[in-house]
Amino acid sequence: MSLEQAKSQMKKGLLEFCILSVLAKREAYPPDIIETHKNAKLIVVEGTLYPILTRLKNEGLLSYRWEESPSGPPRKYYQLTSQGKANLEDLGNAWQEILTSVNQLSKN
Amino acid sequence: MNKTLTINISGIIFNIEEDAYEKLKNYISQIKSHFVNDSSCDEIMADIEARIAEMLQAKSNQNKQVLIISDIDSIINTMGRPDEFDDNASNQTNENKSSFSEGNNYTGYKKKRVYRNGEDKVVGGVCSGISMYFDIDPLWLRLAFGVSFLAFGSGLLFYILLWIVLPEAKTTAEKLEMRGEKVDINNIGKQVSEEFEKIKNKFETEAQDFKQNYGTKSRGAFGNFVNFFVEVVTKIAFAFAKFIGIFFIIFGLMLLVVFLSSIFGSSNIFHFSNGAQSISYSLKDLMVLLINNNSQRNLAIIGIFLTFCIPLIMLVYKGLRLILNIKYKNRVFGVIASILFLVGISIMVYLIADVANDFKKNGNSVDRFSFMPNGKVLTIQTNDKDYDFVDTQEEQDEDINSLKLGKWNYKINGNIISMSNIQFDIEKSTTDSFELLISRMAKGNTSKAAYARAESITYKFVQTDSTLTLPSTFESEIYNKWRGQKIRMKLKVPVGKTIFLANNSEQIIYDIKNVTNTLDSEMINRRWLMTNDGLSCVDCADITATTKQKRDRRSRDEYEEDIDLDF
Repeated sequence: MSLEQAKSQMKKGLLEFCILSVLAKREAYPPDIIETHKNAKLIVVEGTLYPILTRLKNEGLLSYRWEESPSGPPRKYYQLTSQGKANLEDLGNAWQEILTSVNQLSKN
Repeated sequence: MNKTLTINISGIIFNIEEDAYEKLKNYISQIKSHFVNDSSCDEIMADIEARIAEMLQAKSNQNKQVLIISDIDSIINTMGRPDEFDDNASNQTNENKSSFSEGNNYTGYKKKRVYRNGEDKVVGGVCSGISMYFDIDPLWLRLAFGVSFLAFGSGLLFYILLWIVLPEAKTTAEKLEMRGEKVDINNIGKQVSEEFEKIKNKFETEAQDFKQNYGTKSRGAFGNFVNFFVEVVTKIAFAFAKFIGIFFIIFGLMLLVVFLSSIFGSSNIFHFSNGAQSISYSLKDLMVLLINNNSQRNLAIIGIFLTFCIPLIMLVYKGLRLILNIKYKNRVFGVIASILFLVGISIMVYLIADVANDFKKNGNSVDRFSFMPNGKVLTIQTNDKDYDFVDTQEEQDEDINSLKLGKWNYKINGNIISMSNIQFDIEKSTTDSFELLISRMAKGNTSKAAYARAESITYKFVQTDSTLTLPSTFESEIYNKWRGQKIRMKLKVPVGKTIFLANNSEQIIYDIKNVTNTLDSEMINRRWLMTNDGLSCVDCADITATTKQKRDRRSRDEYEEDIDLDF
């Protein structure tokens, strides 16, 4: 596996966690989510987002509501469900654990 | 100025330039084929389209009402190409992709197909697509095609054919199929063994069924067995189809080159030979000889091309389809080919009827020459060198404008056709002088035309005191065409006169009657005295015996018949 592939695998694993984190703060529609992620260099193209959002919604972690848009078709605003919140907490804890163990490993 | 289209994405209406529309349409269908196996494909597509609509809305405003290709490019940049969409969710839905990129987490092999590669093309993307299939550098194929264009354009035809046969890889799925798995020995081995396993398993289960059902439901089992047998045969036939395909292509292309070079060049394409009879000619020369005028000749070229080349092209086409396993049908191509073929046949029928019409009537122009040579013996000779020698000489020269139809030669030399259809016979004269009868004969659509054509034959013989020189060929202007022109000569020899048949006269003498029934080939190089009974050999004591024996061996009836003919 090349370095690039390793990086993209790491990003992929974290993407779901990050999307949930963003939505925990406020409800958002996909371009908003993209904006925050682009700044964090986690995601490159918008197309990546739609299948993940649909899947998370189908798993019951997200819900959405329609909002009329000033320009263009109505937008889907996503928010976390209670299950989503619980899931995010779990993922957050797991992430902290990974972070500490990776830090320890790389320090030693 | 550009054509614009009106489209509707997620209920929003846009004006878009045609090329931008094509790009957008391709892009959306690529995304669609990327998600096609996903259970929530429709929802994802709706979301993506809504977003695209929103972005396009932002691009168009009061000042700029039409979307252009750069707008689409910027949207594709933001949204990303389907192969950049990689995430966990689409892993299981995107087997094509993963089987290509990782190559180990899939079961079963992905069939590779040939497409035209629109992304890397010089003319039609044919070479590029094929080189994808075989995993080679397209440069070599392009070079090969370039060179083959020079071979009377047959490569060009082949290229166009491929262009028609091969669909362009447009969707992602098609592009992946185009790249596919590398076709190498391992893969082929794998495929073969898998096929074999399948057949073996099938055979085993069928055999069990057959055993179980035998006796009770023998007819049903037998039916199953027949079905199975048919399936096996079909599989084998399918494998053979590829070989047949290769054969079609090679055979078709070879004949195409031969035909094209014969129509446009002048190479001899037919050379049938069975000893005495031999035919060898090029279509181009044959047309010069047969066909009336230039416009008809052009028509003939088209006719020949259509009648012979269209089936060959179809052969190559079928071969390609068989080899490349193309299911995509191009009905238009088949219909056009059939129409062109029928047009070709009609042209040929018309031309043949037209030429045949010119053979309806005979014309015969007879000239008589009386002479009394002073010499004791009249030598009859042609203007050629020794006959046997000429034959080999001709082969060495290999004159490309020489046609051979049966026994006769036709040579085109500038505006003159020279022909060798000459026969010479000897009879007893009723007077006491030599008399030479020359019939110039030809055919035409009317008797008048036939006669005029016969008259236009040029034939000059030379007579001296002791020789009669008869040229072995006669000439006619090329506009007279070949219309059965021939010369028949009869020399009437007075009783008591002697003639000598020179060696080189063999090619024109024909069935000369003589008292000993000696064959023409044995009559040459000898002196013959005209007697009241006919020609009698003066200096052939050595062969008379053998021919006499030959004659005696014949049946009595035949012998009597010969005698009848003699008198």
